[in-house]
Amino acid sequence: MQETQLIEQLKEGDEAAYRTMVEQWKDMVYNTVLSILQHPTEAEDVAQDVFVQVYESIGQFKGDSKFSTWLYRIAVTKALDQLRKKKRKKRFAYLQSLFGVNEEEIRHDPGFFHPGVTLENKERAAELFHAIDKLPDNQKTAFLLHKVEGLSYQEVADVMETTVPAIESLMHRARGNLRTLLSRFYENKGL
Amino acid sequence: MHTPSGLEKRIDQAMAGIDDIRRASAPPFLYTRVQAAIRAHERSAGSRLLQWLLQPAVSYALALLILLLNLWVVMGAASPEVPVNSPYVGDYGLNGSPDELIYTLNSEELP
Repeated sequence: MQETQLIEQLKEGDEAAYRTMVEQWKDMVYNTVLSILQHPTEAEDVAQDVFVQVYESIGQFKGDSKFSTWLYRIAVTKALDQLRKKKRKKRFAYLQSLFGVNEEEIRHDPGFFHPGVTLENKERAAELFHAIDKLPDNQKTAFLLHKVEGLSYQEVADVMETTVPAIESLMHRARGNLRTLLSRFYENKGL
Repeated sequence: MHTPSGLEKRIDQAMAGIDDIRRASAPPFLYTRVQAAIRAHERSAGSRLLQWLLQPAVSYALALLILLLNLWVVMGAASPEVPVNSPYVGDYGLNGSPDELIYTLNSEELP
């Protein structure tokens, strides 16, 4: 089905068109959200929220960008919102534990294993994802959209509503920061 | 030629860790979950509207608005004006002003 035809049908509330859209884009949305959140259950919840958002706001889609660009924007925004919420909760729980209010142990993540990584790269990829989690949001987004989703710099710029030189700069800084973070990580582990 | 140290080599390997990554597959039945979430959201939208209407400030404001509308209608009905160009003005000798309303009977027409 042509994209314009699909969008028209979505705006008319056609359920078959909506189902087609979900089936067509669900892997893209889930993969994007999973790479940001690094948690399969949360990623599933947020992917669901993304499609609900699409259902509610398809009327506002003007067609001045590709549908996939618009969908990536919603997915990234929702994932980053969830990530911020999670980090706030963690900080609050940590503060509570300092004052002995919350006696629950702060659980440490064992590490994120992306299902799309080859077996021989599993450990190295987990270490890299651990470092990616510490990047600023814009560097993280640019890096993951390019490396995990395979978007070109132009496509990443379209999603993030910026320019290609800005994406080049973000990627350069992301790589530099990742190398620094990994270096500290390995030094702490005595490797 | 600079030979990378053990640490740098390790970092290079980690940086290449997601080079051949494939897209993760969404869980099965995601569409069913999305449908259920949309239905739940639509149901809660109706109850959210009701809750908003039941807020004291909103319900008092609505009650006041209805009262004012009623007053406006009642005050409008209490002072009717007969239009000057009404066909009844000539027949019944009405001059259209409430203060000078005069009903005259044409005594010749009485049985």
